[in-house]
Amino acid sequence: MAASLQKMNDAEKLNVLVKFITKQEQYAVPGASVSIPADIDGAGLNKVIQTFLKKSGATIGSDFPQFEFIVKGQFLVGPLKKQLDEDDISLEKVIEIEYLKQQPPPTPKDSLQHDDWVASLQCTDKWLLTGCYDNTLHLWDAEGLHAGKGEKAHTLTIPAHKAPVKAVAWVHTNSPTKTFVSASIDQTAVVWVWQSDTNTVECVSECRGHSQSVECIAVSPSTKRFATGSWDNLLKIWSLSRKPLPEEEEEAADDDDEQDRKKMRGSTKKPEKKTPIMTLAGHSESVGSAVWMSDEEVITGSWDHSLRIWDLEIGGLRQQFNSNCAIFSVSWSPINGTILTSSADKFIRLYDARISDGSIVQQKYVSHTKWVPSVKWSAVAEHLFVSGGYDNVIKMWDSRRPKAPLYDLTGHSDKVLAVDWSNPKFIVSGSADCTAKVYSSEKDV
Amino acid sequence: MSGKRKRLDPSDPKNISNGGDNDDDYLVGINDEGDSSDSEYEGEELEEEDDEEDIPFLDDLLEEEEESGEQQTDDIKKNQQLKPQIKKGKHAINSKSPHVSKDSLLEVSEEDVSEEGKSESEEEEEESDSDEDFEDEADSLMGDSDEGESIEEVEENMQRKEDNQVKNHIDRDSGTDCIPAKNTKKDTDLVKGLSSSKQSENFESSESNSVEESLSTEAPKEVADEYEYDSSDEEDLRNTIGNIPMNWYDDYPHIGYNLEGKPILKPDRLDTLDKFLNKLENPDFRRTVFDKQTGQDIRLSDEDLEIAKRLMGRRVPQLGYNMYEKFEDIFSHEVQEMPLSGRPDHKRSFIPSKSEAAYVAKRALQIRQNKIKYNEKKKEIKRVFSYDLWHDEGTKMRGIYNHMPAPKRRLPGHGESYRPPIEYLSLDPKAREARLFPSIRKVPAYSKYIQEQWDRCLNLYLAPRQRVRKIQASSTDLIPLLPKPQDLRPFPTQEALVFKGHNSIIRTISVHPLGKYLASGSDDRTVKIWETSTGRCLRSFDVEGAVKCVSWNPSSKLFLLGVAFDNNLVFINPETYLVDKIVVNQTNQIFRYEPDQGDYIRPDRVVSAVKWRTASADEWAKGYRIIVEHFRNIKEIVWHKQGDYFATVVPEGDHRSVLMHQLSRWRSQVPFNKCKGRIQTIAFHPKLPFLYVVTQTHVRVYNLLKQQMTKKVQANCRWISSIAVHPGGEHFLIGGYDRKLNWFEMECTRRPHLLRYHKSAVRSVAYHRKYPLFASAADEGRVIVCHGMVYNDWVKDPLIVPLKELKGHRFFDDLYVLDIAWHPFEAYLFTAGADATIRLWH
Repeated sequence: MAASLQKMNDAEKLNVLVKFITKQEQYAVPGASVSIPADIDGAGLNKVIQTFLKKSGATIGSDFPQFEFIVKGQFLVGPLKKQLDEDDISLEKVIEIEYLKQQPPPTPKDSLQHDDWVASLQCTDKWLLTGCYDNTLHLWDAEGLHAGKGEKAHTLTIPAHKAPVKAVAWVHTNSPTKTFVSASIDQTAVVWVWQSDTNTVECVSECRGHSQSVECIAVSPSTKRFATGSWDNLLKIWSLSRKPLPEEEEEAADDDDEQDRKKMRGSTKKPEKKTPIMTLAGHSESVGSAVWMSDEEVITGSWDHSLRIWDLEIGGLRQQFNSNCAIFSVSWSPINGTILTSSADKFIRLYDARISDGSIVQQKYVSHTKWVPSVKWSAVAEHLFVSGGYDNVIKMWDSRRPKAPLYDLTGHSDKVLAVDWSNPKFIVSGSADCTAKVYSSEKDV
Repeated sequence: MSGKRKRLDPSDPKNISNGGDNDDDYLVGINDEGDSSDSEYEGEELEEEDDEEDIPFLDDLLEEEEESGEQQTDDIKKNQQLKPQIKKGKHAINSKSPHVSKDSLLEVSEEDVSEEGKSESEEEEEESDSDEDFEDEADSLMGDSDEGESIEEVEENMQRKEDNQVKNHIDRDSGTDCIPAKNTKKDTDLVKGLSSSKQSENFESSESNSVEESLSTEAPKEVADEYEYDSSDEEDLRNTIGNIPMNWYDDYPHIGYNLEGKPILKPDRLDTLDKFLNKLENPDFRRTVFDKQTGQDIRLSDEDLEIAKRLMGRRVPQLGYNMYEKFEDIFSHEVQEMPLSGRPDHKRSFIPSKSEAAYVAKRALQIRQNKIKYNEKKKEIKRVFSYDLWHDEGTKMRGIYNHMPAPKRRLPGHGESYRPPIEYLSLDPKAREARLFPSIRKVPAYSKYIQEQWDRCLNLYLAPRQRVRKIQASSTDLIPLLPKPQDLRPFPTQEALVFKGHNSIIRTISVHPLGKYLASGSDDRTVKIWETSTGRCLRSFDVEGAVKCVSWNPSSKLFLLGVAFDNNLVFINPETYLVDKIVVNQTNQIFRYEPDQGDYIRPDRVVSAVKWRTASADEWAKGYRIIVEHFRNIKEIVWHKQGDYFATVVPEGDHRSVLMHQLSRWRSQVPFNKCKGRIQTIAFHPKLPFLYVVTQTHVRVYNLLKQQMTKKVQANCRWISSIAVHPGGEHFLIGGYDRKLNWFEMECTRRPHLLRYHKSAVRSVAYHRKYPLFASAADEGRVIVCHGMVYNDWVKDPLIVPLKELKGHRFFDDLYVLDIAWHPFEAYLFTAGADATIRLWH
């Protein structure tokens, strides 16, 4: 301490007292505060940590992990002093620096060629479902993706809709009989059942009710219901439980469609026609995105610049936050309970709906150069999320680091339309360059 | 006061003793006395009083001999009232009677003196005690004394005093010691002390002296020169101890020192019995007073008594003084009847003066002319009596204000000196030598002198010097104060999406009223429908010609796109799932058959110009619903806001350039009979049934209901290219091929706001429907977005702020952007470029 104080007197080399803490026990260092130059950056701090670890007997190899450093809840980017100055933190006190093992970079695994733009996709443990602008759904074997099999991993193509598919979502994936839903511009949402062992798919029910393109679809955590948002400004809630309805009358207008679909499916079974359980009107423009918070709460982001939380028990609006541009995508993390929105500007915003006073916008993530149509929280990590933008880049973020993303995942040659990280192993993205790309992400927490 | 001395009582033994020996000594003594009395007169009035009071005091004593000392002192205080009079009296006396005779002085025997010393010390003691008492009570008792009474008493007392004096003389004869000449007065005190009671001690010695002396009646026989002995300013120096409390000498046999430094011995004080006896026996007891300073008794003469009596009677102390002498008025104040001069008045004193008359006349005239103003403060002109000798009228040149004098010439410095300091010299030894001169005589004439004078003269003569105020202005000063663009958000700033798909110049775009879709028409003979949020082309229609215009039907009940190519106007139902299925089906059903025309017969003019027909089966499959064939090529199709009426522009149609159509009934009409010039474009008023018909140079506004022209606007432009009507309806914007952009107000069309920021032909202008924004595209490669706020206040001009220029398209064949369109509710701008792309700006 005395020596460090002496150093501090040296005007040219300004030193600060820091204390390293970590939550990752295997990389813990002694808790004493040490004096380091104020203009040190991440690399320098890494060396300091490595020195500590060497002393404690760790073997430092080439594969020794690099660390990220968090100062007062913010990731360290650039020199320490700059960040301290920006955040107005006194240099005279002991600064606690939390460090954690650097998130390893995702590695590109596969590129799945489609016939048209990939509008949406979702990945489960074993299977990847993509929705395409050529009105089809595609199923891919996730195991095969991991092995980099590419086209061979393609399992099934479903000519599902009469118009581009806008959204897809898995429902049940555990049993061999798997269920998923898809939504399309043709104003319908369809529930599908897929027998993975026989590789046959069946259109279970067709959800009609929207008068315009269905933009988004979301399945409730209990998998009993799903919600769709549409360009007709409505949010509709549908039931997933299959109850045999009495024989419906065939509508003349729907005749063609039905027959088309039957033809496409090659199935003789008539799909059940569903009507929404609930219709929630309130948005003045199209609903761009919907996510479930719980079984009774849905968050929607709309082109009318508002973010709304609907309470299904009362069947109405509970909260509304207004921003200043159209919201394209919403993601809610059950781990940290915060909401991410991406919108028709270049920014991703972090909302905390639990905060009643002050600005509910907690952070603004700036790095994309064009509109960001999709954003997704990691399924397992508390602070990680990915976003895909019209600037052809997928970005992996840490929510504590708003100024720069952790990694830029390039590879797409056109607009990225959708990203998904439901399977913690894979970051998948669909793009306007007619490919879906798969990146494997290792996450050791 | 010198007179006093001379009037000393002849019976006073000290005078006698001294006077016989030496006149000088005596004089000295006298002087001393006079001094002391004088000083005390000035400084210690109280003591003086005490002296004068002796008369009533003595009086009382006679009457109340047995009374206590306290009462007696009271009486004394009463007598103090007399003090001021006595003072006056002294003056009077001094001036009047300065007679002292040496003879009288000689009368006092030397022997008397000797007795004084004995009782002196005793008296002094008592004296000091009682003094204080008197002073305390003096004031309170002042007013009690009675004049008349006192006078009578004084007379009685006088007699008794005389008796006492006689006694004193007797006593003196038995005197013991010889006392120096100047202390002779002490003898009297001594005498008094022998004969009188304690009360005599109460008198202050010095004062009593002076009074006594002044009262002494005996007139001197020789008149001395009074000035010679004038000692009025001198102090009484008989006792030289100064102004100290006398009780300091209580324990000593003496009471101070005389001028010669010898102690003045206290006179012998008599015991009470002796005093009483003295009082009874001494006829002079009552006129004897005690000199405090010398400790001696002093007998008052008759003259003194007389003066005291007069003073107490408030009369003039001088005997013979006549207060009421006749007043002689030497200089009379009365006007005498006879003047001193007998000269008659001059003529001019009774003839009015001419100059005065002139002056009066002048003033009267001024008054009449109101030139004289009263109650007006005259401005004080400060006259400076100086004359500017050097003032030069010529320095103020005609027409030159703020004259700037020529700069003064620099004075020669050390370097120019004939013997410059060494640091001013050149390093070159030759030049150095040339610059150094042994003496001033060797210094050559200054070679440049003439030249410099000449230059100076030229400079003074020719160089114009005038203080010119420099305008402190920057180029930004002329720019009007406009709000910052940042404050006017939202407005499009950057490219968000590029819609790629066309293969040729995109001539026209139209945004669906719901904002989800965009239709575009291109020279590649296709019409495409795009998804605005992703830039995805959803539909593409091939048509039979280069598309000139596409336009969505604004009605929400129809899903119909009007496409103009060649001479055809085709209505296409895109028929996808873009909008509600019901709307699509409804649209299809409406246009499947020709509506019933009823009795309506088409005019020949119309029949020759327009032909409506339904689509054939092939065409129906392509999406065509109705085809309206025109007689010439169509340039534009404009929908009325309700979606039933529309108008088409056929530029080469002469008087049939503008055609009005009704969609629901398949009817057309040709509203104008005359051709007013080549029609460029047309527009509907957003609220009123007005039609803007734009020719190359004019805008005509027609009222469709009344079927008449309401306004004709000279467009301030040589060739109009496009028009945009503000959604409020009160303003419209005109872009011209001559690079001008004009903002017109319907109420004041004569003075449009001219916007000159384009450098090339303006192709298209558009107002945003919701935000106060407008944009214009020009061939120079810029799309400029402006803030155009319109106020409800009619007087206020619209606020036009250029916000952003959008660049991104590429040129193709010198064409840049051919059409622009705003998103219906977001601040997004779509631009249709010649480079076959559509771009969305946000």
